[in-house]
Amino acid sequence: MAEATYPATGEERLEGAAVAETNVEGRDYYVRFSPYHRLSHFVMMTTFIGCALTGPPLKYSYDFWAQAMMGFWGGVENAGLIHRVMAGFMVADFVIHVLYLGYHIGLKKAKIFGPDSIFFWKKDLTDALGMVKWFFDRGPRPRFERFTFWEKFDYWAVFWGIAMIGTSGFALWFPTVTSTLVSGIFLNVARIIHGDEAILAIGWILFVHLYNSHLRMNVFPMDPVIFTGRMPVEHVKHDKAAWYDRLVREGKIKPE
Amino acid sequence: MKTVAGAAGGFAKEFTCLRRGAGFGILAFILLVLLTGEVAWAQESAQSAEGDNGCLVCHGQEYLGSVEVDGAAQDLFVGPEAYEESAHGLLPCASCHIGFTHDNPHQMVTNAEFFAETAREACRNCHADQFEMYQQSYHGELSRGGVAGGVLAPGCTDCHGMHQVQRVDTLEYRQDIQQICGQCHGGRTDTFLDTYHGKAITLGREASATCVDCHGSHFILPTTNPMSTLSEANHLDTCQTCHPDADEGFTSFLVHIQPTSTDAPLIVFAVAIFYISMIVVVFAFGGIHTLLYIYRGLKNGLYFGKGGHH
Ligand code: HEC
Ligand code: HEC
Ligand code: HEC
Ligand code: HEC
Ligand code: HEC
Ligand code: HEC
Ligand code: HEC
Ligand code: HEM
Ligand code: HEM
Repeated sequence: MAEATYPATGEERLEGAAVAETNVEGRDYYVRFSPYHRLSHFVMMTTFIGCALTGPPLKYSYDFWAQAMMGFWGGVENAGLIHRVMAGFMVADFVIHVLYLGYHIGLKKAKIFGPDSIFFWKKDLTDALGMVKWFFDRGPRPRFERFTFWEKFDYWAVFWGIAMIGTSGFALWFPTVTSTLVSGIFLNVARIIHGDEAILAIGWILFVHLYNSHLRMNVFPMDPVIFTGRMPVEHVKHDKAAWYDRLVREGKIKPE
Repeated sequence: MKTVAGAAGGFAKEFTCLRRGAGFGILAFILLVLLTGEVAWAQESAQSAEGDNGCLVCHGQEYLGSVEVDGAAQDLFVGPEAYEESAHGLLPCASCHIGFTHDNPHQMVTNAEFFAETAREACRNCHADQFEMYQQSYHGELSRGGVAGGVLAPGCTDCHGMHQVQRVDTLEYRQDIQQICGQCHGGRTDTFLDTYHGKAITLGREASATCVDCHGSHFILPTTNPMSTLSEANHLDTCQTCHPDADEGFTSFLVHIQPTSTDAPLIVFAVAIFYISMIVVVFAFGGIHTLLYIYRGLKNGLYFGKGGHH
């Protein structure tokens, strides 16, 4: 898959995001997620599924499905081991991501707020209101920038979620260390956080995230962008009009 | 005081006749069985536990029905297979039903109270240690005082059964304990089942803790009693049997806790409520957004390729 010659500065190449590519199936593609982003998401996805298949059967120990699943894993200890291995990779992925953020914000002086940033900004609020209007046909679809507000929400939900589930998970993993460092009652707190956050995360991924990536109208049955990194330019244009305009303006993609 | 119910009714009348008249015949028959037929019986069916004193000839029959003693039905049937598999499978019936012999199996039956007493006391003859500990425990004390709050204190048979006494070192028995105690301490069992210990033992992790690993089994005392395994002085030692690295702080972990009840410590209560609220708010946000998106998509027919993008 040859990369097109469309201008991509060194910096953008590093970020890996702003590279245009032509003629995969005769369409123009825009590389939206860098190899790092894709790998990071892949690790997050697989380890999350691993944890979600081994943790909840413990929480719902009294249900027959939980007992069947525990049987499948070969008992609580095995499931616990898989859970911990998966969790280890997940936390590693998270830590690397934090370092990545630190590198870009601290060293590369990436702007914290702006159209390329995953941080919320004012436009998200007007976009959200615009979306509601659009849902009821009372206005045009908002002209989104690089990240829509629900994508940002999605990202921060995961960010917060991993931080909470990871901290509480480690607290439960090493209960005696936790009680030495703080106190035994924090193990009670950690159990609540871990179990409830798991419900929150699984529910969110299942009903919102998977909806966004599979069932959202124009991506049905699946949006492969997170695995290929590539997004058809026509999709960019319709999905994220403001971003499209900016990319064209900056000469990063060829206008359709 | 004692009435005979079910199939046992007819049988019992007959039995009385038999005892008066041809009683010797049947007892002779039982004797015969005992002396000559043991092997044959065991092979033919599981009807005879070894050394059952011949009692199972009758009590191994389900049609024996039940008798009513003080208003409660007592099943006269003793499952031979279950008995044989129990920890006492090799014991003659009369080792607990002291005084019941095949010469005159039912001379004691006339006094139900006495009969029950002997059977219960019998445990002591062979398990004196457990009996002594039990006597000194809170349950033992209660059993002498009778009823507390309408609930009877448990005796040996409430926790072990009568004729199906299980070996206690099996996973199955360890898993049963929470239910055994739960008959009278349901609330405690519910909270216990909400901990890792309870979940793991339910799912078959034998090394996990159950009620008696923390409270003891025969020498159970209120936690306020200094001799209790969970008194301030002993609490940590009890945890350390399985958590050798634990230190004093570990004991502040709350086993029996209902996080959303106001009895819970503030921090636990606050976090529990915070999370419940957050789940509601986040799912409301995500759910509404998703549903509206689906609504819009369906309206435009976009799922079916009719419309444009988005
Ligand atoms: C010939 C049949 C027969 C044999 C043999 C027999 N039983 Fe019974 N057993 C009965 C019947 C019938 C009853 C119910 C009679 C009644 O309560 O009036 C009974 C009742 C009992 C009861 C219940 C008493 C109560 O009040 O709850 C016990 C305990 C008992 N038997 C023990 C034994 C033991 C131990 C043996 C062996 C030594 C034995 N039986 C042998 C027929 C038999
Ligand atoms: C480990 C001691 C033990 C042994 C051995 C034992 N029993 Fe019992 N049995 C008991 C106890 C305890 C009770 C209940 C007494 C009570 O509290 O009413 C009982 C009650 C009974 C009853 C009355 C029914 C009832 O449900 O209360 C029958 C009948 C009986 N036993 C028959 C037998 C027979 C037959 C055998 C031999 C196969 C046998 N028992 C062996 C301890 C024993
Ligand atoms: C409150 C429930 C309870 C009562 C009452 C009770 N036990 Fe136990 N018993 C247990 C449990 C649970 C065990 C399992 C051993 C353990 O983990 O301590 C056990 C174990 C035993 C054992 C196996 C040896 C051992 O100590 O581990 C014997 C024998 C025994 N009990 C006899 C008795 C006798 C006799 C009585 C009546 C005096 C009695 N039990 C009363 C719950 C009880
Ligand atoms: C005649 C003596 C005798 C009497 C009476 C007796 N037992 Fe036992 N009990 C034994 C023997 C023998 C064993 C088997 C011990 C073994 O296999 O290690 C045993 C085993 C047990 C066990 C299982 C112990 C283990 O290590 O798993 C329990 C529980 C128990 N008995 C409870 C009782 C109770 C409750 C009573 C009264 C209803 C009772 N026993 C009456 C002799 C007796
Ligand atoms: C047959 C009913 C019964 C069973 C079974 C039973 N208990 Fe109890 N237990 C009681 C009663 C009644 C009390 C006294 C309650 C009170 O004073 O408020 C009591 C008191 C206690 C206490 C003292 C603390 C308190 O609440 O005052 C502890 C600890 C305890 N039980 C633990 C256990 C454990 C562990 C088991 C199972 C191995 C068990 N019990 C099985 C009836 C039972
Ligand atoms: C990991 C250890 C542990 C396990 C397992 C455990 N408990 Fe407890 N239990 C405690 C501690 C610590 C307390 C005292 C603090 C409290 O009241 O919550 C207690 C308190 C109790 C009390 C009240 C005692 C009193 O003196 O007020 C009862 C009753 C009780 N537990 C029953 C049970 C039962 C029934 C089970 C099994 C279903 C069980 N416990 C399992 C540790 C444990
Ligand atoms: C019979 C053994 C046993 C006893 C006694 C015991 N525990 Fe545990 N406990 C376990 C096992 C096994 C685990 C699982 C450890 C693991 O997999 O890392 C565990 C895990 C825990 C955890 C971690 C819970 C989680 O969600 O991961 C806590 C907290 C805990 N125990 C507290 C206690 C306290 C407090 C006591 C004393 C009152 C106690 N335990 C007594 C066996 C025991
Ligand atoms: C990120 C790092 C994580 C760590 C370090 C971690 C660690 C743990 C540990 C130590 C336990 C105790 C049970 C056991 O021994 O098996 C546990 C339980 C559990 N985990 Fe995790 N876990 C992590 C992530 C996750 C994720 C992503 C999920 C699901 C989305 C999850 C769901 C659960 C559930 C439901 C339980 C049972 C809790 C209960 O019974 O209340 N965990 N986890
Ligand atoms: C289970 C299967 C999963 C699939 C099929 C999937 C698919 C996708 C897709 C297609 C995108 C791009 C959406 C877009 O912007 O167009 C995406 C983005 C993202 N995914 Fe996933 N994902 C999965 C699981 C997860 C998990 C488990 C996590 C984290 C716990 C996660 C975190 C993210 C994040 C943070 C983004 C970027 C924000 C966004 O674009 O929405 N994903 N995912």
